[in-house]
Amino acid sequence: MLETGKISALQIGMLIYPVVMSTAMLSGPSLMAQQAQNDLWLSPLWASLGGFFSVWIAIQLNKRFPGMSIIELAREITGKAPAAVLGFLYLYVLLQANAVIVREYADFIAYFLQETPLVLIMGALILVCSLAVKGGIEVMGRTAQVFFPAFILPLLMMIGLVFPALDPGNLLPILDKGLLPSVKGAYIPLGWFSEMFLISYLLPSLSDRKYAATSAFFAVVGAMLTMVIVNMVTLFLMGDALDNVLFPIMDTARYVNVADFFENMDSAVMAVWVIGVYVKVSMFYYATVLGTAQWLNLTSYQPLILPVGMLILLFCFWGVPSVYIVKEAAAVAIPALFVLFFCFIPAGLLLWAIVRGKRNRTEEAESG
Amino acid sequence: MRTWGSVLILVVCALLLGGCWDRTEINDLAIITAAAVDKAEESEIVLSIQVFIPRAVGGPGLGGPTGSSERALTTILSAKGENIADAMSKVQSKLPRKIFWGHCKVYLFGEAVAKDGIAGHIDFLVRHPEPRNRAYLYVSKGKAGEHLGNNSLLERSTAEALRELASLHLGMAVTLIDFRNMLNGESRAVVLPYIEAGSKLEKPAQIQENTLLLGSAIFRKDKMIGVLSTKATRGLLWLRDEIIRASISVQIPAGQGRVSVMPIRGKTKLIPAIEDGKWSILVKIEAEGDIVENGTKLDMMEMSSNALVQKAVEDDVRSRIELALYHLQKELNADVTNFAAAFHRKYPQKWHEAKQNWDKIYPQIEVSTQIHITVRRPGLVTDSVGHPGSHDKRK
Repeated sequence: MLETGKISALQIGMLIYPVVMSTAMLSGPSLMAQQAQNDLWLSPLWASLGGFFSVWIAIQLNKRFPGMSIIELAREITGKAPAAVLGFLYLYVLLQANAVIVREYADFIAYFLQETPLVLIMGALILVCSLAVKGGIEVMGRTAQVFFPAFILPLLMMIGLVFPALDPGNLLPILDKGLLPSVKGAYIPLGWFSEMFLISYLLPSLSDRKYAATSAFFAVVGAMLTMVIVNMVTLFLMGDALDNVLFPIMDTARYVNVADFFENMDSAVMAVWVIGVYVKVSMFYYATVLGTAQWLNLTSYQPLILPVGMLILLFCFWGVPSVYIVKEAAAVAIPALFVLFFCFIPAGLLLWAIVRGKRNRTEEAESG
Repeated sequence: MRTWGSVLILVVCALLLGGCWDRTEINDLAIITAAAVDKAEESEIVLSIQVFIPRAVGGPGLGGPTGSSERALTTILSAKGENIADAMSKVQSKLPRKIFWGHCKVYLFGEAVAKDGIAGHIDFLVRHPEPRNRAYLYVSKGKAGEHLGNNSLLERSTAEALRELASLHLGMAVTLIDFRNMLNGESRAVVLPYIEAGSKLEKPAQIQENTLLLGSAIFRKDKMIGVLSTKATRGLLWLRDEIIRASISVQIPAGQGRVSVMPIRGKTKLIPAIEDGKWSILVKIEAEGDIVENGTKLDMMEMSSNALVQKAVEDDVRSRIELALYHLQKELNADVTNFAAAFHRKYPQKWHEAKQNWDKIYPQIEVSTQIHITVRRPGLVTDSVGHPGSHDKRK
């Protein structure tokens, strides 16, 4: 096995929760509001079904093929040639998706650091993430665990501070135009929830396997609840103006004012966003690097870290010329790609494995 | 060796905290404390900004207190332009430091520019990352720019004075984010506080004499269409369920005098109803207050006089609400009370059918009121100090 480190089930949950939430933290509420209007709080409920599904598939595949990531187990199931093609596609999607995430991050930071070159903002993030990936899964798990409170607490504090200004009446009328708008609003978060399939790369390194399902389940539920709450808070604060606001959570933080003294909390939100993006980008980075090493049958993934980091940086510019393309990609292509690659293809593989009765006996004997 | 290595890393990281390209020194910034937009010739506007002068704050030092108070704390700069962004770049060329919006707490709009529509200006303020969401908006009679040069009696600048005024809740207090939300709301009507012309508040004597707050400016979409008086504005505040910190004085015929009640807390509910195609709204107010002045012969501890006061205050609040609604419904036809949202929430189906005709429906809505004011405490004395023992039964 390429990865020798071990992480706990709790760490898996704390790694996977920011993966979903960091993107949702940025424009989630307004993206959902554009489709679902004031029913946007329902959208995460529908979208989380995708999260439960992809996590369940990942765990089922892991049960049949313990110690194998999606790249390796595809080889077991489909044979060498198709698995090579599939593996390449997976790595390509991971790389491009990661580039879009990094670009999104950099474009947001660039609102405040207007003169700093984008390449520096992105390079700094990729460098930090590459150190985490170099440290291996244990380092990533631990940093995620350390940062987790820093990710959650400012958000809770912000909600507490704007609480008196909230108007729950904005929720009404519920289901004004039926269920359809809220289901449409679930399309984009569906992509984010599908990303939870990345635990497929973490499960082989899990030390207490029996808690894997529980931890992943709580991560999905936690992300769903956070999204529902955040959607409600922003709706209660902004009403019909919500779909027009690019970064609703930052806007909410800017609204905070306690005794004319405690205000301008947007820097806290930015800090939270940086922490979340760090975890998210490291996860995608790690999956790309580990997957490439497995795909090429290397004995170590360490030599790949810097070249892949370089590729991510290049993809940030090649694939995404501007913030408008990021928006187009995030609204249409990326959710479709993620659902295909993180839900349907793994589900197809699982089905194939069940039909053909394939499972990895040697590994099971070892662990069992 | 390892420790020194980590110390070195920390030091290098600390150096990066300066922000590289985007480092900003505070003495490179011109901090705006208030901005005013006025109409110029044709489609142009005049942007006036009140800029904080940092040198003036340092205190008199050893030189003694005399004279230093004469030094102005702020200065005014203005320029013409097609819009705020254009005018701002022209103002910038007059300043050696970079304009910084982050501390601007007040935006003033002249009446003329408000009548032309201010959506474009608001868009600049909402779109630009620097201006704060919580900055207060005002519409000024005459030229808004005149306010900026005025001195304030108590505060450092007019900007600070206007900001404090908003937090007193005597009239409407509308922030940038409130304006944006109202403009995007169901009724597309906006209300801003309306203040006296700056030229009438130049000297301390004038400030002592004239009232700053004149009522509220009513907007349909982003264009100002009329003004509500202070009295009608109070009614509007009740309808909008906003806090009012101004006493209500009522005549009590039975006690041959006036009683004033200060509202402490209140809750207003708008309950819409559609019956046989007739749209109506029930305004339900529950409020509490304390008696602050008693000029009558009544003992305020008596149940009977309490009931009289409550009834009188209820009638007063009702008349204010009716006054506000008369102007809003019959004259201005601007739904700043947001009845539209109340109907949308309760009757989504019918609302979608009627949405297009809202301008015709709104003036026809019948409004009934159900007001309940509870006077909780009589203050520190029972009967009026002017009429001691007037209720005495031993006589």
